[in-house]
Amino acid sequence: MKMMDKLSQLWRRLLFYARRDQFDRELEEEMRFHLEMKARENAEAGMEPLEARYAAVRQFGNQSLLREVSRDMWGFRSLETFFQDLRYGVRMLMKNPGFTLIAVITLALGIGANTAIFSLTSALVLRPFDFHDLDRLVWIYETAPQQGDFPSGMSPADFADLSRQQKVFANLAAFRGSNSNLTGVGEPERVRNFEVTAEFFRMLGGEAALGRTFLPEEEQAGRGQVAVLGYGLWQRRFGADPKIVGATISLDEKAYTVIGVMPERFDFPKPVELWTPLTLSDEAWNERREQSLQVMARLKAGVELGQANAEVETLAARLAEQYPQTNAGRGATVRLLRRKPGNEYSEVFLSLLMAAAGFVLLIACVNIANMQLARATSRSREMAVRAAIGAGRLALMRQLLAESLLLSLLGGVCGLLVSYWLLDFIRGSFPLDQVQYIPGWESIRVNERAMIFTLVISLASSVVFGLVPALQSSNPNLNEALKEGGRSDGGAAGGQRMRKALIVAEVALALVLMVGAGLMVKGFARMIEKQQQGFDPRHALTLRATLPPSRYADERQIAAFHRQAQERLSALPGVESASSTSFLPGSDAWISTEFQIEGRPAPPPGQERVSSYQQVGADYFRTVRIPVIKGREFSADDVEGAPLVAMISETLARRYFPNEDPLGRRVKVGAPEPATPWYTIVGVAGDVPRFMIDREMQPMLYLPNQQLSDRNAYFVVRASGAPMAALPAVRAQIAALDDRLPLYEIKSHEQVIADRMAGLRLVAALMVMFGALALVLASVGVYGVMAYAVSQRTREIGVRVALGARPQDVLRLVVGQSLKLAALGLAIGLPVALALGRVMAGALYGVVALDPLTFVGFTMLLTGVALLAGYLPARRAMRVDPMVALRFE
Amino acid sequence: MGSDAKKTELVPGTLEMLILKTLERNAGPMHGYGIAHYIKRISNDVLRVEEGSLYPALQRLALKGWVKSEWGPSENNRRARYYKLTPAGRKQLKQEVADFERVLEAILRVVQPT
Repeated sequence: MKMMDKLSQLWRRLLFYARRDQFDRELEEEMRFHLEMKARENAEAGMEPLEARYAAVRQFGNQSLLREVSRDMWGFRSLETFFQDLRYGVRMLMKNPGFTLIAVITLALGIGANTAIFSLTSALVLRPFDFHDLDRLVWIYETAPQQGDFPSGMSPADFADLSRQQKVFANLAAFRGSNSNLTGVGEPERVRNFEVTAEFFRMLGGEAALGRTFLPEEEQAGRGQVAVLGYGLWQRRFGADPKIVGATISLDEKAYTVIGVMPERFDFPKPVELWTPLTLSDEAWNERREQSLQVMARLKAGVELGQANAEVETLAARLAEQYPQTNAGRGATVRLLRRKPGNEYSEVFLSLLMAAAGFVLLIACVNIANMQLARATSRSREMAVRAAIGAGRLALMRQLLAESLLLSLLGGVCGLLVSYWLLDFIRGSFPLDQVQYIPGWESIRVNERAMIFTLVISLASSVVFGLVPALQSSNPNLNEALKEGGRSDGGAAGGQRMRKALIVAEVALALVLMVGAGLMVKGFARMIEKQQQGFDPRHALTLRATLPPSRYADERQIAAFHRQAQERLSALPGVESASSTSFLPGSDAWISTEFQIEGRPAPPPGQERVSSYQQVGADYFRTVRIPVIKGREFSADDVEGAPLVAMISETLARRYFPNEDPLGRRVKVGAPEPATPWYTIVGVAGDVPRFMIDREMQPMLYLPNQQLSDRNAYFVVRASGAPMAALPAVRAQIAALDDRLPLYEIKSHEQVIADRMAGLRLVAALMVMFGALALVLASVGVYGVMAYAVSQRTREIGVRVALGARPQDVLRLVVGQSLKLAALGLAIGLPVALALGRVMAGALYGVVALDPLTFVGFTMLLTGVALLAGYLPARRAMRVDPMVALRFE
Repeated sequence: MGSDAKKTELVPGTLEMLILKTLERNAGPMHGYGIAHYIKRISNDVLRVEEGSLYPALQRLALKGWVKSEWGPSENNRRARYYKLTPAGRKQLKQEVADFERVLEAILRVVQPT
């Protein structure tokens, strides 16, 4: 309310200022009217007309004073001075185009970097979803000891219990991803399908653009043959047909009726292409072990996140007590929708980038403050004259700050251009098939909030780089400065001191930023390298196919398809070997399971043995080039009916068979009780990395896909030449087996890994960019101050040379000073950089806190910069003829 | 201000309240002269509003959004600026009168003999 009053007052003030001529005229007329009325009153009281008029004027008092007072009332005077200051500032900046240009470019780089990173953060972290009341939407996860307490999905039975018992959520919805093969119109295609409960759309406020969304009764088994299309699929596949509602489409060879199309902006959860109702049989709703559902909720009004968390924890504890067989140790947790687990890294990266951009801007500000201080010295006479003819200190400061304000606003405008460019770079650096998973990616742009942010940091910068010079030079020593021929270096001692302090700060800032960037980039390099260890992605073509249950209902059919495909692909000319697998090494995606070892008691609930596992075809290890350390790999003979076999990774062997030979031992995946068959270990393979963020290798269990089939598989084809060249032949062979089977995610294995690393590479590229910028700015800054200091000391140096100082003495003097400043900066920066390194090592995989090369390297680099920054001006100074130098002034 | 008239200084800070009250009592819009005249008449010539403070005060009230002004024909067929109370001004007046009465009462309690 108060704020609004102030704002509307300001508005009226500005409105009046714009019409101030009219204001004057009106006030004039009003006073004339008043005088006339007064004169008439006097005349009526019996005065002569002329006398009446005079008396009125007399009674009225000082008219021009009244005018002044009225105008002041509206604050015209301060506005007028403000605009005058700005006009004058423009003139000063135009008189020094060189200074203005450098300052604006410097600022634009600093501000642009900040605006770009802010826009990125705003799109990806702060508002990745376009839902109303976003911060009341949450995920509900179960945490299971089998999954290393990593937040995972929820079992249907747990979800049903939670829905019934909870009191904190207004809506609850569950969904699961289930990709399907879309056939019928044109080429068969793999589409991203999500099965959702009817509450899903209602909770998110998603209204269909055409038709409708799901009804609760469509969740019942048998009634769920309906589908809602995503905007993209509707456009691409159905030519945006407005009569699509009511049409029938075929998903996994089953007929579905299209009941609606969602608007373009509703694309949750990415990369969804269509939604179908989640229809579970009563039996499936009783499943408590498999945590197959993703659960979301909207908090009831007034319920806090912590409250909701406490409630689901309590409910989970109750379930664990009721169903210890499945739920022992299982907990539950609530997280904001926009803070999906696994996304923490984006937040860490973005905050580091934001900090780095902030450092760049600070360094830019320090540089400009330095330039301003140097200019202030040469402007000290101007300031003195202004002070002498009556400008107060405040007026001088206001003038200088107005100049800074102009500079920073110019810098802000150019910074927006820089940020557009930077955001283009960022958008272009991400492969499309990664982008489709990133919520908020489409909304990366300089929006209104980013504009306001830019304005704010521009103004803040102007204070940072404008205040110190303004304070310094608004206090001129009149006597000194006005004396004709007064020494220009006399009154500037304070300015010099300040400039040196700024240089020290700049070197410290640059060191911290460069070390931070260096540690991070090296950490990423380690992470990327680790992700490719243990196998060889070169010359390998990978593609994915998922066999639809309608045509491959039987495990045998799936196994047969994989076997035949492998035989056909291996036989192709130019192909060394081929195989299939449920997961690709280096792709950052795995499934974990508990497993049992024959002859050992099952561990108590909550402490199960856990391993990643995958089903692979014959020749898999040879094709992907994972070394077999012991025993043998799967062959074409390991089929159904033959003895069941398994392979394990080195880490699994070491962890679970520490002092014995694992070969010949028997294992099985899943829970202990069911009478599932045992698999005999026939080989130990080398370790391959699992997730990027894993700090160490994890156990891995391999089963032959001829004995335990998996309808979802990657084919890996090792070619003798360029991997992509083999694609047409590969396609033809698969089509010969099944021409209705869509192939997707077709890339070289190297590309799979590179795409997965795109985020890391982008962050690294930006870090390098910011670090390099910091180095350039700091170098220019140090050089500028040293060159200026030397030029100020030309006379002193001339005297020294005249008195017999040798060139190397002068050199030592100047370079020594430069080194001293740099050393001080480094001494302040190093401990900060060390602390930063420790924090980063804790937060990011691969970062080594005490990386000597990084620390020593950048320290030396900055020392070198200081050396050069001292040497160049010193050399110039040494060449000066002492006689010229002495006559310098 | 004529030196012959018996001069009574306004209690400081009350001019704005008087203007607002005047505008409230007269319902319709008034021009500056009318306001000054009215205050003088109603107070039996005790309170005299100086033009030198009247117009700046009116400007201040306009700036704060308590009065609105517009031009209109006057009783002698001239163009005059008429002032009108705004809802915010009405609220402000109530507040000021309440404050003033409280202070006045306090003063009276101090100066009156017990």
